[in-house]
Amino acid sequence: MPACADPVDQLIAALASISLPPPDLESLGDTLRQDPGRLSLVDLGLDSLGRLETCIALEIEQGVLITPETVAALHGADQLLRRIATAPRV
Amino acid sequence: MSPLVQRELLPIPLPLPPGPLPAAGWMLRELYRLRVAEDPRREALRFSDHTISHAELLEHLDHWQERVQDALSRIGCLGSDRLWGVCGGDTVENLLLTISQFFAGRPLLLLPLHAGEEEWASLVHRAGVGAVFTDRPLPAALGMERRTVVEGDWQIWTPPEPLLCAPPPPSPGDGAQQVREILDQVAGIALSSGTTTGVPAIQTSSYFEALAMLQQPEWPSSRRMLFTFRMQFGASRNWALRTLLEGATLCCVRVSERLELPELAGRFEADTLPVNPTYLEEMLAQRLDERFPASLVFVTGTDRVPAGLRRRFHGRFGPRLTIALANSRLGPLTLLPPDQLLAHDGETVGFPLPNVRFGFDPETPPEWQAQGIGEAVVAKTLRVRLQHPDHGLIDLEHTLEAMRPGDLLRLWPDGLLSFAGRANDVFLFRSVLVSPHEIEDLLSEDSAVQEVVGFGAPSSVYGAVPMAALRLRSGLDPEQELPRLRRLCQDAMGYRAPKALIPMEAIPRGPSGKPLRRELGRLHALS
Repeated sequence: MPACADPVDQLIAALASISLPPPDLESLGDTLRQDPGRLSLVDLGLDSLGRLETCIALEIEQGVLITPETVAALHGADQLLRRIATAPRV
Repeated sequence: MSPLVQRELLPIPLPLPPGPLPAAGWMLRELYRLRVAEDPRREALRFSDHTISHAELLEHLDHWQERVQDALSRIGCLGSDRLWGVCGGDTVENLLLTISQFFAGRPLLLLPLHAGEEEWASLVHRAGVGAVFTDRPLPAALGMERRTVVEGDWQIWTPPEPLLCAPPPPSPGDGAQQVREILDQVAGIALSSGTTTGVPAIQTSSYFEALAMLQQPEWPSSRRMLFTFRMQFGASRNWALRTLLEGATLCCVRVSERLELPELAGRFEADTLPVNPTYLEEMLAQRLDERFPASLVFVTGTDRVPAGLRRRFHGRFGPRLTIALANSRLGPLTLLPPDQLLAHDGETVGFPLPNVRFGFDPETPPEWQAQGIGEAVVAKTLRVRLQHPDHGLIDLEHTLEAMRPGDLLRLWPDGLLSFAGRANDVFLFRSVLVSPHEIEDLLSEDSAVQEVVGFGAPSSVYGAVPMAALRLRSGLDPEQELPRLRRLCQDAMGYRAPKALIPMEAIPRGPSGKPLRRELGRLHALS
């Protein structure tokens, strides 16, 4: 899968590849662009296993280095997108 | 891990190059001479159009030994205090010269026929080979320039400086103890197929261990063994030479004749054929059951024959596959009779041989113990019989304690053992145990997958991340198939599913056909 440059695209691509992806990724992507502060990580379906798989997918497929422990300390989707945008790259 | 458990297989540190050998006569050749006397006219060797009885083979071995000794005396080498290489084509002369030198007790490293000059040079330098028997010009990189004719095309190549060898030690005067001391000091040498390391390794052992690997009295005999001429690997060489030492018949196939095995098995009237799982797959794909003689039994010493493959083999061929857990250092450890091929989980490797005791590492991780799995710790009693010209038969015995072949095994109540993975291959993904075989079993059943290898990609964050390298069947579009296969894995394995499916033109494998999991892991390592 080609790597994306936009943090929202990167997150949606990663969520699409986990075992239990959140439903309706297209509409989730729209919300993440328009008002990401409205969504919590629970809304993204990111329980502990989801965080694990999402972080691995971000690293393998998008080259974004972010750990499950880092994500666990965040609350909102807007924080996660900022982390993805500033995270080191492989 | 218990500090008492011995990781090294060698009971004593061994020098390389080896120390002086005793006079050649009283090694295996004299034992073989006894065996020949029992039935000299029995067929010993088939090789292409050559048919040789045991009596004729013994004459050939004596002849080659005399020619070698004559050549050595011409270059002033009376003893054998160095490691020898053999580099020849798949010819009967190569086979006879090699057998003669093994039976004479010379430590030999067989340079692989299929290898290139660079690999030969690397092996020669790494092993410390001091001289080479060869039927062909050697590359300069080997550092051998002086040549001495043995016979025909066969020459001894040595370094430019004079070859100085120590004279042979005096023949042992007081029997077994002295023999044993000598055998402990001398190195045997072989290539391993690379199960543990992923690449063939040079293995040294005491000569006692090397001789024990050639005898294996606890393993059932075969009457006529069909064998492909790839003797550079220690395990293969042991099978072949053991067949001759037992007075049975070795039907030796040239490397180039491999694809005609069914016809050769019929022509040679072979009753046993060593195989590996790759060839078993080939047999099924090409419906070779219709061409192999119905009386032929197959035997494999490969660490794992997957349950799916066993079912398909059994369905087509019936109970004709014998399985052993074996490795090139310890030889066979178990025996699974053909009628037990599908027992329990379909992954059994049989019962321990009478001279083998299995235990489990008490510090096996709890996750493994919960599944009834432990890392095997093995004790094996090695038995060696020699015929000494002065002292007659000498029987020696030694038990190797606390050996670790690196296998994870499951013990069933009836005493059968199942192979659960290589200790080095199974990996922890976070706190969860994942076996590459789970991934392979799942994906290999899909019709789109030609070949698949599971592995753990090392990661400082996750331990190892499950992944799979795969080769799709020709004509299929990876962009369509990979997402489907990935979802298939996720449905079956949940979050333990491989996180990357990596399409490849060819799966990297070592010379013996085993997948190079570590190399794949290294290539796809995460942060």
